[in-house]
Amino acid sequence: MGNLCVGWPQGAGAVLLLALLAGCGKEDMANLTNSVTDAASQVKQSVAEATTSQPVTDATAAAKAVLGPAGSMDLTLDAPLKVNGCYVQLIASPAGRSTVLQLKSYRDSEKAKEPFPSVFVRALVPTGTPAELNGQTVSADLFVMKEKDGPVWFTRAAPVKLKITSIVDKQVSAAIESGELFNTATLATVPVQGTFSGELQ
Amino acid sequence: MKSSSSVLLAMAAAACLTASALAGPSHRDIDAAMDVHNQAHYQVETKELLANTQKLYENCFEAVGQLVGGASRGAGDRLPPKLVSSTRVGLEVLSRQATELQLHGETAGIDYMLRILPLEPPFGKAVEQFNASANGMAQAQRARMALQSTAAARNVALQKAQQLAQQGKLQEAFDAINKLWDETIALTVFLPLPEQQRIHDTMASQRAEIIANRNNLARADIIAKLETVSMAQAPNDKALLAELQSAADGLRTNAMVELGGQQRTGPQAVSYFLDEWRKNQMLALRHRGIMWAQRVKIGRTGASQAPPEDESFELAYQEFCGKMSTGLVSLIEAEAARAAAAEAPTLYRQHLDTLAPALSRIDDPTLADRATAALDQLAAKDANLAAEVQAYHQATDEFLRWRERAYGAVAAAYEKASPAFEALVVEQGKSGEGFSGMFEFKDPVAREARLIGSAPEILNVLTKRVLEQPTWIRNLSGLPNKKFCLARLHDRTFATAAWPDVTTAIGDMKLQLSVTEQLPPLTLAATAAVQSADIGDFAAVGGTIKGLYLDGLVSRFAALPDNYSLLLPLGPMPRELPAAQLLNHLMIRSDLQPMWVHHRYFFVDLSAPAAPAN
Repeated sequence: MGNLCVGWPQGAGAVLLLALLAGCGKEDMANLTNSVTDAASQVKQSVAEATTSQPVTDATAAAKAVLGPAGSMDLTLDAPLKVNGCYVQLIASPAGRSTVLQLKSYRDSEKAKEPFPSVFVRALVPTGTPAELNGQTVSADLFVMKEKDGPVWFTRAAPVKLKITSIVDKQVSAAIESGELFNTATLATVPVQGTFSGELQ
Repeated sequence: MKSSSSVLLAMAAAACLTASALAGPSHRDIDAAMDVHNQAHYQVETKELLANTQKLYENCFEAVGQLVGGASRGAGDRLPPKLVSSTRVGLEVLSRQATELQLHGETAGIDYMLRILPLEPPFGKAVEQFNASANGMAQAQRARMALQSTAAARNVALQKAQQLAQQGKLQEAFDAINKLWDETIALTVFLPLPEQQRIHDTMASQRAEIIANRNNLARADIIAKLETVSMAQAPNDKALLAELQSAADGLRTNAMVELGGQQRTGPQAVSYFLDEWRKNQMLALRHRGIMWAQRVKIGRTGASQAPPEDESFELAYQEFCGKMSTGLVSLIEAEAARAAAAEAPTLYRQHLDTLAPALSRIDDPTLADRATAALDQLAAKDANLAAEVQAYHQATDEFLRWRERAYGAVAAAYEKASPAFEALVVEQGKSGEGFSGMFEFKDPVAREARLIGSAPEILNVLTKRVLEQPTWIRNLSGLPNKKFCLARLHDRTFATAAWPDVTTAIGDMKLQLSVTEQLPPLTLAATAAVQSADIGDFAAVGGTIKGLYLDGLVSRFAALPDNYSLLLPLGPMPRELPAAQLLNHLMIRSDLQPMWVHHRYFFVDLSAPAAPAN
């Protein structure tokens, strides 16, 4: 699990920047300042609560949850789809099973309140180390759901070819080389393109 | 045109689920007798009563056919008088036997009453034609003379029957009055209706009283006999729960506990209690069926003897199921509390193997999570195992969740292409012009199928409307013979489907879950995913209907055969209407030739040339 600086809440910063760009008034600014302060205190409180009762890793997760999504996915299904959040896991099994590479658009802690669009990518890979994956193309299952209770696009007939374009300091980039997704509403397949950029968890 | 293989398949499925010699009315034999529970007899064994009644029905059907055929050919005056009178008496006896079957709490009794109804108008018309002919008038004259000459004897017979009734010999009185009545109507059938009525009136009130008193007595006796059967088969919930508690206590300190006369490990204890729960549920379902047979309303007969409606049995059983489900998890928790690190890996895998195939057959949505938590406690006893399990959770949990979501959506799209079987039954089974079916025409929320028309009348129409039609069924469990899967009872419908070949899909799923013979799945969800597919438990199957069967709800449940044990999951019983209403209620079964299969984690289109195998 990577270290994270929790001194300044990035999510709140983004809200402030957007507000300035939109040219809001004094009163709005006051509200925004309050919400920034609230968000900052929430982070502080979350971390404080987590560190007193939970292991450090949980405290970091709690802080991350408040901070908003990290990484992104850019997909083209029937239309372009920008997805905030890309969390990468490389799960090695101690018992001789395949290593699993997973990319999710949400954190584990968000499963109960899953944000949409939601994306899940999974590949069985022959290696357990990130360095060895760099530059490799793997067969991956890809699932996409644009909205809650909506149709699912997924690799029903065959997996997509996913190239791991770079892994530098836990920052993972990948791109779909080729593949098709089946749409559960239309029962038809569409070609899929996409790039992924996220942090190895 | 049915293919020979589909016919063979339907026959095999029928044989698979038919415990008794009487298979019940079906697409192959719409006139067959409805099966009986045969749990309580009065005077004669119910099966014998049924066989006699069926024979009589067939004879009456044939006789009415001959009479109507003769009359329609303009030969009304040449109809054999003996056939006319014997058919009149036959229909009367048939009606009496139908009542007798109802007194036994048998749906077949209602069916025969309904089978008589369409015979009466054509019979009446044929008799009318005969009676209006010269031969008929001569026959009427002979009947009058015979009635006059036997008037005194009839009077004596009537008084004798009354005396027997007054002496409390109700069965003898019943037999005597029936004999008198049958002899009388064999003659009055040739007379004009007002004249018939005058003669019938001479014994009507005495006859009605004797029949009512005797039927009340018979019903009381049958209810008492059903009570005895019911008590002898009552499930012993408390004993099983106590045994479960004792086993959980024992496993906290010992690796083995004695159950059913054998020393058993924790996983073997779970297996034992799953078996015992299934046996207990079969007893409970039969018990409730017998309770229904005791409480069904049969006109005004026996109302005072029927035990009151009571939901406490169902509520107690629901509570018992909750405790069984909790108790099964407590066995694993007990193991987790006791087991040493060295024992944990073996116990963990054995518990997965034991519990996983049962998950899809237990109606408790919380069980998987509770059992997983207990299994994680057990895995935590060994650090290596815990790490391995944790990694496996991470590598498979989300994958399975997405597969479930995606293939559920695929199945939903396929399901839209045809009605669910229960919806098809309602749609095609509603009564309409010229058709007395299983649901009222105007019932907007029809669910509980019942005999509005007779079984042959329903099947005659239903088979034409639904055989070979596409439909889908849900919640299937593979039968032990591995040839058929049984779709659970749902809104009074259930079904069998030929076991679909999903080997490729299972192989693909195992590959994705990194499962081999040497490396079994390491979480409950993944183990259940693989094992449920191996044992033929599917979420839904779509296909074409190859067979239809009708069963009486009460009769079927009061003597539920062991091979119906997967008809319902382990868990609370489906809610039912008050028992008083249930005697004419039905269960409809179909045989399905699968076209697609939806497992919780995959979907296979069997009709596709190269079926997607994931």
